[in-house]
Amino acid sequence: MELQDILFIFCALVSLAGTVILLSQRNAVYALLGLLLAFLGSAGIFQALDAPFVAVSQVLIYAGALAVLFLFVLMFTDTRTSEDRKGLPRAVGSRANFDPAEFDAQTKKKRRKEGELPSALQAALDSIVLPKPLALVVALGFLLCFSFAIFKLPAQYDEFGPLPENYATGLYLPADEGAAPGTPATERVVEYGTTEAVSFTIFEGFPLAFEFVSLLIFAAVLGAVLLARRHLAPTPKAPEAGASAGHGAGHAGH
Amino acid sequence: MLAMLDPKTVLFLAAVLFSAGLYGVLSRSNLIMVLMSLELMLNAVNIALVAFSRHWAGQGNSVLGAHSGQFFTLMVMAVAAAEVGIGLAIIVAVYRRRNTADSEAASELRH
Amino acid sequence: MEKVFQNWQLLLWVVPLAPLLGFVLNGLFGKRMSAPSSGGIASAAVVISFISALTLFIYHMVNNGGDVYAHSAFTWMDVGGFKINFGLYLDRLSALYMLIITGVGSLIHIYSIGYMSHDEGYARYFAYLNLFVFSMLMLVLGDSLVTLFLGWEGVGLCSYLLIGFWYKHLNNTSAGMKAFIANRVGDFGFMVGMFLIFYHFGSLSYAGDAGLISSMKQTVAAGQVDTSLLNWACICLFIGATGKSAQIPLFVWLPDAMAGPTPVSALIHAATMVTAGIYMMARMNFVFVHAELAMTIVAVIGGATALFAGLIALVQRDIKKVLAYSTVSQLGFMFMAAGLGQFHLAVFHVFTHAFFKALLFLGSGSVIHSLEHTLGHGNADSQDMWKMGGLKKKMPITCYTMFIGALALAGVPGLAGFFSKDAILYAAFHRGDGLGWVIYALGVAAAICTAFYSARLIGLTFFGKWRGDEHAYAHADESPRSMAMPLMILALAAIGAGYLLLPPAFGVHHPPFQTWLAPIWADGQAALAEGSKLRIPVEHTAADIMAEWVNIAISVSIAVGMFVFAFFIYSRPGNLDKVGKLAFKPAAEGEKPRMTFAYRLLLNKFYVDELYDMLIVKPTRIASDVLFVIVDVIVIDLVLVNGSAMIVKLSSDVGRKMQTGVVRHYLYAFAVGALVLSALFLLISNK
Repeated sequence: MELQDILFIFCALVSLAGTVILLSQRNAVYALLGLLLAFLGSAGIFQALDAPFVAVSQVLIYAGALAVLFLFVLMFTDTRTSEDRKGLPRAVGSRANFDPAEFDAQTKKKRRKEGELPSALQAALDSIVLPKPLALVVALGFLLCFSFAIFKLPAQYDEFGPLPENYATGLYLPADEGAAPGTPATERVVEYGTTEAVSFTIFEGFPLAFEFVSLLIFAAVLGAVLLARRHLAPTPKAPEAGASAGHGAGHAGH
Repeated sequence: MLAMLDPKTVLFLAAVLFSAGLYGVLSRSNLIMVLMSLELMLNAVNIALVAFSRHWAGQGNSVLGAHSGQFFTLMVMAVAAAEVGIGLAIIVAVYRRRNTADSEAASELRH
Repeated sequence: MEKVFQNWQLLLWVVPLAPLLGFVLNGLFGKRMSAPSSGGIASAAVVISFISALTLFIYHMVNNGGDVYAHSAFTWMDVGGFKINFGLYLDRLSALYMLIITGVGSLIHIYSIGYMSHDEGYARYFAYLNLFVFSMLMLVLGDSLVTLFLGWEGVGLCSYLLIGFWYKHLNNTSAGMKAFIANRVGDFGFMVGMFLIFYHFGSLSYAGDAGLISSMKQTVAAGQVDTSLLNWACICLFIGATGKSAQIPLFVWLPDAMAGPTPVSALIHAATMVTAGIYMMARMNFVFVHAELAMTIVAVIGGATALFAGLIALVQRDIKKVLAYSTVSQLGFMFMAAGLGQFHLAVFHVFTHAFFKALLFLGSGSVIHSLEHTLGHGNADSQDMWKMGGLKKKMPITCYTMFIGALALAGVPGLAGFFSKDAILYAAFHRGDGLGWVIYALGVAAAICTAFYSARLIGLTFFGKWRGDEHAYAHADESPRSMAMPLMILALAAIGAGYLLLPPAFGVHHPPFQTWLAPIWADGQAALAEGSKLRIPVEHTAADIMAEWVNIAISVSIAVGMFVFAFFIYSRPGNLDKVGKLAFKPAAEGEKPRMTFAYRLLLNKFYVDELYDMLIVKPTRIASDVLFVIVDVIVIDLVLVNGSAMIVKLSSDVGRKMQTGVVRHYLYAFAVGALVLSALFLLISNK
């Protein structure tokens, strides 16, 4: 067993563990930590597959930027949802008009009715989400399909072939200054998976796609700003707006 | 000893992660959790793409052919970043209006 | 630039395009322009067109020997074996028509500046008028039957628009619709005719290697003329002509068309558009000469129309209606000539008729215009000749020019109408067979009517005593100079135009008009059998000339005699009562006088409108009522429209239950669908 195999097995296990945490934890921050684990594990898998640049990008973008963004929004919002409402009276509010304060009050009432604070086991059970059978069936169905397809792959997929030492790029380095005239220019070569190789691929092979993706991200940034900003239009200075303030901040923009 | 690091194993791992992500998307009702599970699915695809990239590099492809899988991984990352930005913005907007990030809260588009 | 000078004949494009530009300018910006500038632009456009036409005529047609000049701008359509270019075709016939249209058109545009000066739809009027001139020029100058048809429909449209110009009165709009529908019937015939021509010759262009003229020549040379097919084609084309040129049975629209402004009646419904049928026949003469049956039908219909309309014109009280029926009658004369194969006479009558009928219409417009000042616009009294009289003192220019026009119309020797009409009568006289005599009899009877009603018109309007509203008479005045000047120019033309085709009896064996147009008929004449009755006579024997003198004597005595007779009756106030006795049965005291049968028949225009109403309009209406209930209400509304709506509603009532609005449910649907598809794909690809 080689070093890469060990790295792969370890990272795969980390990923799977992260995934289990993500899926099972009721608390969104724990779930996010599970996702982070899965991302870091994937980064290790990329490294094991000789793709260091992608691995680093993975850490930077997914584990760094995206996870922080998620965390940010989690802090913004109340994560209690209808799936936490089991056993509560319907009066807690329709799904479309959720009232967190009422929710908490009802939860406390329920606990009091049960007479005692939950045990440690009870608390642990409370903190995880129970599996949903239908979703499980669909997901397993997909897994079955994939496994079947992978099983049917031809023999060339049985193992990874050896990597070439390097790749010719067709680009030439300028000759050294001190070199005698007539010395042939040396061709630039790249190794598999390095930053050089990937950037060569981007700018020689797919520059247009690259530019389009930058446009896409630009549009996404604009869209996100537009969607998430508070409505800055001046509130109509009618006093009755205060009277009906219970309807929430969303009304401010009208 | 059986070498673990072969294409089929990696692809299978990707399939497992993808299915797990799908399960998450389908089962969770908190929109943020749905979005996280979606990221997990995209990540699984990335693993598959890198595995194919490594596979074709081992089959003696040119530099562009060997790296296009990695290139598309980067594209997926970029798209995922854009998607998360937009998705979270939408969730924030929904939350402002509904006081909850429950996916069933935003169900005006029904019959 | 040099190249443009080399191809200076491209000036031809200016002729139709200048009015089109005028139309665009007036149509788009007319509302923002002052009335004089709008009329000025429109008139300038037609005058430019006229000057270009005249330049081309002088430099190309006269100085350069009058070769055919064709220029194709672009391929209009190219479908399978059917290819039509959009191009212009200038030969002697189209040059002549082009001059008539732009010349008379210019005068009428100038006249309209004064006539329409108080109308609010001024710019609209001039836009339509310019569009008409454009369409008419396309009709005449087009290089194929398709381009001709384009213009043919265009003038029909403009005619409709201008008849219903004062659209606030229901009568005017329904007159417009009547014209349009009658023309549609004719257009259908025309299109069928075109299809048959295309079927026979494989082309619709006149010139060119594959054009109609050369393929006709080849067909004749090969002896493969399909006479029955050509007969049908020509009859269909003539049906088109009966619509456009107001012949029996489709003439009913033209008298109603007088609802439009009077200059329009002069330009469209007298001088130009209604002669399009003649133009088409003359243009297609090389086909028509092979269709003897069609020609006979044309001649008989023409003769019948001439007499029929002439009789109706005898009793009309509305000054414009008289002229309208007179136009129908004169068009009958033209078709008579064309049907006898004497196309040059038909075209010549178009030529002279354009002048004197435009003159008469513009003169009547001048009278109406001056009376409308006091009587108010749209008052029927301003057109009722029984409420006129003695206007000579008030409007001398109008009176004398119209007098000249009436003399020309009546066929008094020395004026244009005499030469053209007499030549047509002589052609029938000369023919010498049964058809010739029938046509001749019809023509002479129509000529009697013509002389009578033209004298009646003048006598009632300008002579005798004023019989209408005193106030209106006191304020009646000569029209402004912009209206009087065209009258005088047209009067000069009505006198002089006839001298272009003097009869052989006067010693002129090769009159310029006939020589000028001879190349147009050359192909058709060459294909005719020796001694054919349709042949245009070239040589005249002494006996012919003798016969012609006899004919001239007859027609002169008719024209002068009837004109003097009718003028005597109608210009003296006392005589009107005697006329009344002819029209009305003697009635007892206190009883309403009853009309005599003949008078009632004529006054009601032989009940043709009523006949059509009974035979066509009413059955159509009943059928459409029935169809409305069965097809529209039951089949379409109930079954198709509401039924399909019901099905959609029922199925969507079921389907919309699936739209829960919950994102997760859609996700499930999506995921299960994707799963099923990928499973299927795997199953199939692993076989």
